[in-house]
Amino acid sequence: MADAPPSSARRARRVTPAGLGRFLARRLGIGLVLVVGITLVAFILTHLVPGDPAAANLGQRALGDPAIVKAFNHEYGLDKPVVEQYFIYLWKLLHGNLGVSEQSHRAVITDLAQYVPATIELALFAIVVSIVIGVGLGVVAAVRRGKPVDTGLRIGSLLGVSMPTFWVALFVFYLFFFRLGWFPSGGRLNPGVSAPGHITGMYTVDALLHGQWSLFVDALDHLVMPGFVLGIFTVGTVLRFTRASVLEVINLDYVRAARAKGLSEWTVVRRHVMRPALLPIATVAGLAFGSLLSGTVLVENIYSWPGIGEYAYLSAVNLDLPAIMGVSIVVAIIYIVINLLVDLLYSILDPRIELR
Amino acid sequence: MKKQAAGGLAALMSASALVVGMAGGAHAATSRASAGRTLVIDNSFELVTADPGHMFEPTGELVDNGLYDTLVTFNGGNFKKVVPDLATSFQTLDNAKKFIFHLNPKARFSDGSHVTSADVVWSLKRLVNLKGNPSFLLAGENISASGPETVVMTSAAPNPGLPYILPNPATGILNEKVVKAHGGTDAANASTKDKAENWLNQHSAGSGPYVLKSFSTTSQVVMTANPRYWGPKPAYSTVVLRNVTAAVQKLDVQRGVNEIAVDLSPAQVTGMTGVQVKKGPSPNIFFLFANQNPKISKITTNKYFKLALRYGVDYGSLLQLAGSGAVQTPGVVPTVFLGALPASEAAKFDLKKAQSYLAKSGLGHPSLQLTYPTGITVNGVTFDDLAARVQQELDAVGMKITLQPQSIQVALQTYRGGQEALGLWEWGPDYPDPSDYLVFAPGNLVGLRAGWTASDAPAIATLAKKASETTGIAARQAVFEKYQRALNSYGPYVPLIQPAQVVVGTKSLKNLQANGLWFVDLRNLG
Repeated sequence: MADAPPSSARRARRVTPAGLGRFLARRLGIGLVLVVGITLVAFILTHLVPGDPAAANLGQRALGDPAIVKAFNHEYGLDKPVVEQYFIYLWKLLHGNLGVSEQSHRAVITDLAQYVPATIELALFAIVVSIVIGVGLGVVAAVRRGKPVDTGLRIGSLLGVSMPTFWVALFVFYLFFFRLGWFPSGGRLNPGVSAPGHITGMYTVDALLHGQWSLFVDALDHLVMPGFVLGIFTVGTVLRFTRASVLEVINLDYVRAARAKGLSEWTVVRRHVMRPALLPIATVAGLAFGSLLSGTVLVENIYSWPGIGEYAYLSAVNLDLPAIMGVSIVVAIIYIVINLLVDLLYSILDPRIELR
Repeated sequence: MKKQAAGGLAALMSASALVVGMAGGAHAATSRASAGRTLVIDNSFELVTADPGHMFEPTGELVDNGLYDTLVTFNGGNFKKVVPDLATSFQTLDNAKKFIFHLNPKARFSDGSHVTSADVVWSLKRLVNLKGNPSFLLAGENISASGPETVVMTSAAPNPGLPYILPNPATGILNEKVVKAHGGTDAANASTKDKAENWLNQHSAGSGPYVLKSFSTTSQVVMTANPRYWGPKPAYSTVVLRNVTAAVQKLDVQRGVNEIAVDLSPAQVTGMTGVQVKKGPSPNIFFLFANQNPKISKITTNKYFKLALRYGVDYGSLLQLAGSGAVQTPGVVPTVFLGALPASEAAKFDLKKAQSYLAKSGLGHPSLQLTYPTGITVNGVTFDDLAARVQQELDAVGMKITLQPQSIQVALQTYRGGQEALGLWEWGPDYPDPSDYLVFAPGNLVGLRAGWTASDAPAIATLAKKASETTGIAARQAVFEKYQRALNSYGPYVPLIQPAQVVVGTKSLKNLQANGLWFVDLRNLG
């Protein structure tokens, strides 16, 4: 089976629209249960932390005034029993209301609408960079297995995955901003420049959609450094998986047969090796994208990138329950959607895989 | 074949490089969008809101100081003297139970309308009734208008500190009509009925030199010059506050891409050249306290233990840690405020004396925990570093101190509950008046956290009450000095240091000063 050429895919059962619908309905149902479970876990964990949201959010003098503390607790529903608080939260959630953040005093959904697209934009850039570079270099390493290039790339990828994020971020910042002045120091746009009209919340995309070329260039300019730093860590992982995956396929019979037909090595790799080799890479890329989205806090902090990582950190520090819950739900949904997309991608890359 | 594979890779890499090159090249071509002079200030944001009625964070003070006028204010970094802002003058009557403020008839909001006493009354009542963080500032004040340009504030008890409270940007005056139209109310139930905060986070409705253009609590705040400002024309057409870490601030200002960095520590500015470095003591004080509640600790209630603590801390070493510009605080009132003790009265490190007091205590080599909030930095000094230094010094005295770092939420809970035997904390001023430091008196806010009730020290409690009611600068200076001497002799506190307030700016800036309340004075900068 493992040695089967991709042509067998033509014989595989086709996914019918009804089958796809059933698959999506089942997965969405499971996802919904997961989201509710995550709200429960996040809610319990937040309440287990031995802290007082009023103490974390009010000043010392305000804390000394029982009327102010009472007003705060009342405003955020903290004066109700914990179980009641949870069910009120679920009821509001059902109506699309994620509550009001204790730290920003804004609707959590408004905060998330601002921060999530910023992180998605950063993570998308990073994942594109890491896939383009990681897959490319992984193929080269596999094709030149055992050669100095392969050794060099393997060492490089090991360094890529093992260097501390903050160190790389600071080094890149120092070199490309402070020493060379190639890139701006941080933020999403130059100081005082207004963001493009909100469509997706991703400035590069919105600027293009509005036809604001100079704004697009400004946004991209700010995206490059943090995006590359974030991508560096995934490059190593993608490179190693690609190399291993290509090596598994590159000497199979059908590949040798393709070579024997006189095809060039690059054509063989492109047409007969890459497609089966991409399956595990899709999994890695999917998981990496999820972790990029939820693990950007250090890069966001150093590059002043107002994304969800920084928001999550501040929410945790301030025991901001509605914000913590909102972030947990969003991250959970992102993981669920990514896993779903990866599964769908599997069936596209290898039609033998049946969606159930 | 290998050449082709390598060629493909080269294409991929080239594409990546092209993206970088395109953006990198663009960086040189793009610049700040706004025309005219732009001032960019780097700050590690502590920002929740721009609504003065809710605002009580350092970055918020900087923002609202630019957007809103207050009745009176401070000039530059001099916190000992209030100067006119919206009020040209004020009278203190009835032993500081009554104040009358006379408004400047020239004052205009950014929409061109007059600033009237009704706006002042409405804004200040809203502040109180919102029951937010800054509401305590005017608690107990009865605010009314006695004419279109006259505001009267009365209180049951004397409030001589009121003129020093009013420069706080939280007492900024709003355009009543405009804010009401966007959900604002000053009613008694404003804490639940007022809906103007979101609007005030997108627009401003004040009479200050700048108006709000955009506001983000995590990235940047943009203010533009108020074209109808009734005072001297603002020096900048645009002021941008950017949220960046201190390390990045240093590189930004050193490279000259941004004008001001406000969160650098003395260590970070050492050796910086080509920039202006302004520093002086901040009004934030670090202090130790030994809990006086015997149920919490039998050790810290021992009077000789407290004396050993006072003489056992090497203040010079702490100042070295805090860096140039920091000073030892002689009492709980910072040296930059009215009522501070002279530096000559600061405690002096004397190891032998400390050891002798510890021996007298009969406690042997007492073991106890020093609790503090971990990960918190004040003016470049972290609680963790300071606690470690104190531990080392008290170890030399003969005390076995175990460090008990706690997350701020947990630490605040134990601190508020009076559960900490030995604590390391900081007090930042709510307003620059010694009356803010009456919280340290027995039976008051911090006193109770240190297990010190009014019945433990009735004479000091009475002295604190007297200090709260005394009027006149000289008399207040004298009574607050007496109050602090009593705290130093009999209280549970060991005042430690005021770290340095550092501001770094580019050479071209004029009138740059470190400001302990709102970092820099936007109104004075040129």
